[in-house]
Amino acid sequence: MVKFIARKLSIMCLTVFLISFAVFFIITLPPGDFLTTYIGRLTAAGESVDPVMIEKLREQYGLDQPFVIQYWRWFSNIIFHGDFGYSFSLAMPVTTIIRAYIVPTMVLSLVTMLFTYLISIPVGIYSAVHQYSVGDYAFTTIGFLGQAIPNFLLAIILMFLSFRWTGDTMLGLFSPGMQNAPWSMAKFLDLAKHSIIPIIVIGTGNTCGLMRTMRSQMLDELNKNYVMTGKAKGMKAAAIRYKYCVRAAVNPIVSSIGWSLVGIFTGSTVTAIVLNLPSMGAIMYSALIDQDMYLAGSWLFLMAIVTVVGTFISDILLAWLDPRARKEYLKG
Amino acid sequence: MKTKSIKKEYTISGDNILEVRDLQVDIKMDDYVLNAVRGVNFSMKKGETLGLVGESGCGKSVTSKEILGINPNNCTGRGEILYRTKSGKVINLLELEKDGTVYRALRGAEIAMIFQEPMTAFSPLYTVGNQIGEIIKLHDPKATKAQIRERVLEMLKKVGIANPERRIDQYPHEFSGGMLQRALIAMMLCCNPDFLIADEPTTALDVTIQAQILELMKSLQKEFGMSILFITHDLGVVSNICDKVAVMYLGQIVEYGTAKQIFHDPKHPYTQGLLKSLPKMDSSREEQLYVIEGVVPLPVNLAPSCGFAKRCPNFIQGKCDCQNISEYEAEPGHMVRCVLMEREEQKDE
Amino acid sequence: MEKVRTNKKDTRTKQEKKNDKYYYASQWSLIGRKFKKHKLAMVSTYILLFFYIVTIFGNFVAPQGTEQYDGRYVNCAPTKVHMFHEGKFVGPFVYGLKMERNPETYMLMFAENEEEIYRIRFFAQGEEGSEYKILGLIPCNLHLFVPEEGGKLFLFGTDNMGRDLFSRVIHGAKISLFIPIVGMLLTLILGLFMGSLAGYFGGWIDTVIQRLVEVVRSFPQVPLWMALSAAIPKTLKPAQVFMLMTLILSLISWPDLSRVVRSKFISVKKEDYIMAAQISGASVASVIIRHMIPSFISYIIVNMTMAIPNLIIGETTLSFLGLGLRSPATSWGVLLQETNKLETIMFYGWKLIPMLFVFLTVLAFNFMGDGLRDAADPYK
Repeated sequence: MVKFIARKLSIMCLTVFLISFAVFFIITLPPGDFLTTYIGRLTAAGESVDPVMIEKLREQYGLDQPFVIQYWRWFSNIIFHGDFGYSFSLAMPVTTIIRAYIVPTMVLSLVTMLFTYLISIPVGIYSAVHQYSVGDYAFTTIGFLGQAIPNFLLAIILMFLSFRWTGDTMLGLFSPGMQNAPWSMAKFLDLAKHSIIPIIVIGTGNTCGLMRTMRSQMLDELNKNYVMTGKAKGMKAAAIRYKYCVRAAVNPIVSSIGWSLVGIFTGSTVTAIVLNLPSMGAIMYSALIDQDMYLAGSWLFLMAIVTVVGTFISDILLAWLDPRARKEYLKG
Repeated sequence: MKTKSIKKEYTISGDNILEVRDLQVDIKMDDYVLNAVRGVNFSMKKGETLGLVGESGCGKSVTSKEILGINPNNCTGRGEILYRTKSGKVINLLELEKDGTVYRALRGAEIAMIFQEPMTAFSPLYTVGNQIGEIIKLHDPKATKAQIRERVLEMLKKVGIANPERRIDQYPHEFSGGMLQRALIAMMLCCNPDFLIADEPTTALDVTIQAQILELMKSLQKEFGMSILFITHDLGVVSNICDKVAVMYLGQIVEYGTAKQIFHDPKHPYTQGLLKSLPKMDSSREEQLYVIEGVVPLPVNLAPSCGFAKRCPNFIQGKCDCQNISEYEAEPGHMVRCVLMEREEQKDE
Repeated sequence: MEKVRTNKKDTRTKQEKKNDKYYYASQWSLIGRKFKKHKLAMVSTYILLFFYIVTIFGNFVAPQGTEQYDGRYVNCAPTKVHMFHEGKFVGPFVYGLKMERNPETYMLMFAENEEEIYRIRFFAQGEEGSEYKILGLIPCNLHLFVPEEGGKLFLFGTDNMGRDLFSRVIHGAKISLFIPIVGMLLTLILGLFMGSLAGYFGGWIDTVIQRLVEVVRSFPQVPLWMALSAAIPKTLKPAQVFMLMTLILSLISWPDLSRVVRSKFISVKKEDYIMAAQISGASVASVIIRHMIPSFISYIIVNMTMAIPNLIIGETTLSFLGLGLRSPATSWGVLLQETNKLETIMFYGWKLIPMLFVFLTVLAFNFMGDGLRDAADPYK
């Protein structure tokens, strides 16, 4: 097992390295470097630009150097110093911004993921066991609708409905007065209330997808021969279902945690923009609009890393859950 | 369903353990109904081995699974399957609730079944020992963990699995096909059943392993004294293990008799064809194998006729294709479902 | 006896002949037959066909031209089409429009002026500004329906520049419905190429491509789209932005397909008939194209159909966020940009109508894909 984890870890490091390369490539994509953008902004604001200072900055960031050296400077700063560069639009180090926003982002994502699994797995099982029943049709319809509606539209609609019914659009994570209040029960409830719409919006697409996967996996398992063996043993149909089928059907779902994370981040980005959430998505958006590429790139990099780590966890979970996979991994 | 099961008293003759009377099974497909089994009759004595022979799709598997009540939900059975329990009571299995306590108590404990593909008959996610032990726990809830393990080890030893202490904690994928079939047999014999259904247990295995499994089953039958319903399409296997043979074609038994009668004096043209199509050791290479012409029709909305009529070398127009053929007794205990027998009966008279 | 046997051929029943037809039918006709049984998938296919045909003849169906607007009718609610005037049958017509101040919200709203009646003419010449060119060559101003001179017909209302939303939805469909198809084709080429390379050769080529797939798949899709789209210079023409966006979409979505292709390749490679083709000296390309791809082409078609909804949502989302196409270019996402303010939805609810089309299209593609997937395995 240790050998397997070590091997997976080394692959993971290689992937992260490649991702960083891709991210840096994206950062440098816009024409000109970020200093050009910066200067443009300063001149637009009517400020004078000191050519000496610009030259100094250019040297400091190695903008006069070839691509590979620039990349290495950026990457090594992140790896060795935890320094993600400087955000010109917000005039502070990227690291500071990330530190401020990473916690709400992660909490929101994890809570959403929890809900996603809590809903999709039982519903998928129900749909498969009662295939072609009214309930199955209802859930299938909901599943299709949920996958068909883009996140931003769902966000707008829910925002609108919430305003219609409660007179509050539920923007942000806290009510205006609560933002800076000390933690209390009231503040927590306020947070919970404000989290409902984001969680629904972020989770819907993913939940519907997982629900359908779970259903088809479960149907596959219900038709396997070992179900017949179980019946021949004298097991109750329900017992066979839960001991054997669910256990087998859940494996691929659990091992898709990595991809689920991608889905949730995707959802949370757009949702955060529309619903004005204090999560990284909104920051990323304004960074992109302003072509503040260091900030945007760092954020993209972090998301990708979280995904890679998620995939790593999935792999280990799968090896732990499925003896066949375990054997295969241990061999190689 | 439950109230229905008490309604009627059934009797079956003397030392019979199972009597199947006019069993019909329909399988509901998307847009048609398949008459998979169309009136099957047979009986089995205690300790006897009956071979149920036929091509794939002739309804032999469906018949056997109907006895155990484990056909999928789109199958409906009619007729009577009378079974004498260990306590001596005769019940009609078709009247039992399929997932009910009565039926479940019978399955595994009194009637057991081994399957064609041992590799898929086990779930890949639990150890072999766990899955075998489960059947003991189901029918003997009082057994402790240690007792169960003890019994599983004993059974594994009995079916000839070497090093059972190590094997018991291994997963199915660590077993070979033959070993898994042994394990499956061990599982199904754990509770000492009276009646074992073996659904092509050797088809998926290598020839050498086949022989080992057959020998194992024979010796276990001697030890446990159970009746075996042996389903196969392999006539060689039948001659090796069976006392009696039933030949099935298109959902009906076309010939039934002792192994000797079937192999040495086959009456039905289909049985004759089957036996002729077997490759023989002494035949020369140039000699072509005998082939039964045509294909088996789908059993959907069949007109009354002999199912084999279109392929039969002895086809009689106006006789074979316009009526359902009844059974004739060629000699005591040798039933044949063929018009040709009618003539012979008349000749005798 | 011999005589009897010769009669055998004619005794086959109808049912048997039908069975034979079933046994010997080609894979494609079986797929077609099974697909037709999936009612929802069939309905969806017809809906999509309808959408695409209307879009192709968009200039004819839409009463307003692509660049036309009317500053007098800003934020006008959908006009009602009437059949009866004061109890008398007139045929389809619209009333004239007049401005009124809403007594509650004090907002200027348009109301019907029941004194003016404008009949709707079919297959008529459009007003000035709605001319178009057939195939970009023949100038023409024929439209499916146009109100009489002076009358205004806005089926879906107008936007904040006085543009007819109905026409805009149709013009926008040109991008929203066709970008995904072009993107899908590019994805298909990329995915097939990479997947077959990896699956056929294995070894280090496979390893390299797998790493690449992993890297691309590690990025959350929409944020990556956002980042790449943000890098598109704002000075480019809409057509160029269109091309770049398509390229970006396919650059991001090929890994999924290549994974499917690769795994299919690996399983097919072990089949004897591939070995036979290789031994008999067929070239690599011919083995791949003639023998391997046909064996799993149905899976690829299914996969592609299922990928289109994602591309549609992607384009719409990007344009909605202002990172994709921008006005005056028209796509459904661009049309929805206006709805990102709550007030817009409150007062001008009709501006959400384009959403309905996004939703319907995505749903229809999903159902069609579902039907195809069920049908792709006709022997099951």
